[in-house]
Amino acid sequence: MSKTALVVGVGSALACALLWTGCSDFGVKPVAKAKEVQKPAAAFSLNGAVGQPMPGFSLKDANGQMVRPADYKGKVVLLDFWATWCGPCKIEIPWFIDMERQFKDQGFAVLGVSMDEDGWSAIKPYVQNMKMNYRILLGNDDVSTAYGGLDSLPTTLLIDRQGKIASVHVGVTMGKEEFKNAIVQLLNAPHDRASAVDSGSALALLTRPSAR
Amino acid sequence: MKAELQPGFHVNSNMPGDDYLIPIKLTWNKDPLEAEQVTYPKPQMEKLSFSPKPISVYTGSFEIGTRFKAPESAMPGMAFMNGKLRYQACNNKECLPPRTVDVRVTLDIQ
Repeated sequence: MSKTALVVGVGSALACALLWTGCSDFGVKPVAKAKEVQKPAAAFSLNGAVGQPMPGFSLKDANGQMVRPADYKGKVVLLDFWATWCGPCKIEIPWFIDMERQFKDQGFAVLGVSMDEDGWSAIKPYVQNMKMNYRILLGNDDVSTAYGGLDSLPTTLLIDRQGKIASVHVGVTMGKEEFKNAIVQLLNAPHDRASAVDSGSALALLTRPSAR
Repeated sequence: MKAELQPGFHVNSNMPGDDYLIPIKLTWNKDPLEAEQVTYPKPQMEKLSFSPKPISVYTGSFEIGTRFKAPESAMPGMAFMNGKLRYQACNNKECLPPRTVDVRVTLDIQ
C-alpha cells in the first residue's frame, strides 16, 4: 500500500475526487464515486521476507555492466535502496563505506541501488562527492516491484551467503555498530546454512522507525 | 491551495538550498486562465540529523497562493483550472518517494 504524508485541498468536491488521498479529511465527498480497481496482490512483501531468497534483478552499474544477485553467491551482501534526494540515506552511506572497506576481504559486499529518476547524471556526481567505494546500480520500476514496492527509502536488506534475506530495515533503524555486528554474525555463520540475524545481538526481522 | 502534512514529516520548500533535494512546485495548465504568479509561504529552517546545515522545509499546514489572469476573451462564469503539485516528503529517518498530484481550483470569472 502506498504511503502518504501530504493532503491537499482546494475547496472543491471535484478537486477532492482528483486528489491522491485524504478526501475524507476535509469532510468533502467526491461528486462521483470512482470505480474501484482491484490491484493484483504483490508477489513479494518485505513483511515476512526474512528467510526468503532475495528477489532477482538485472541492473546496470556505473560502467554499464549488468549485475545480478547470482554474481554475489557465497558472499554476505548489504543491499541498500537509496536516492540522492533522500536525506536520511546520507546518515548510513558513510557507515556502508566503512563496512565495505573493513569486510570486503571476508566475502562481503555493499550494493547500493539508486532509485533516482534522473539517472546517472544525478547519481555519479553524488557518488563522487560522498566518496562511495561500493558498487552502485541504477534501480527501476521492476526492481521496486520485486522488492515489495519500496514505499520509503532507505530500505536496506542484509543477505546471507546462501542468498537468503537475513534482515530488512526500512528507514534508519539501526546504528552503525548494530549493522556491523549483524554483518559479522553473517560472515561467521556456517556456509552451508541460511541464517536470520540473531535478535539478541542486533535488530532482526523487519524494523522500521516510528515518525517523530 | 492548502496542504497538510502528517506529524513528523516535512516537505522541501520551493527553494531547499541543496541541489539534490526535490523542491515543492505548483504548476498550472495554460487554459482557460494564465497563472501569473505562484506565491509560496515562508519556509522554516530546520536542523535535521542528516544535514550539517539547516534545510528549508514546510511542516504542518501551509498554503500556496496563485494569482490568475483572465484573457480578454474569457467568458464570465465558473471555470476550472487544473494543475500539478510536485513534492517529496521525509521525516528524520525515512523518505517517501517524490509525488506529483493533480490539483484543481474552481474560479468565478467576472
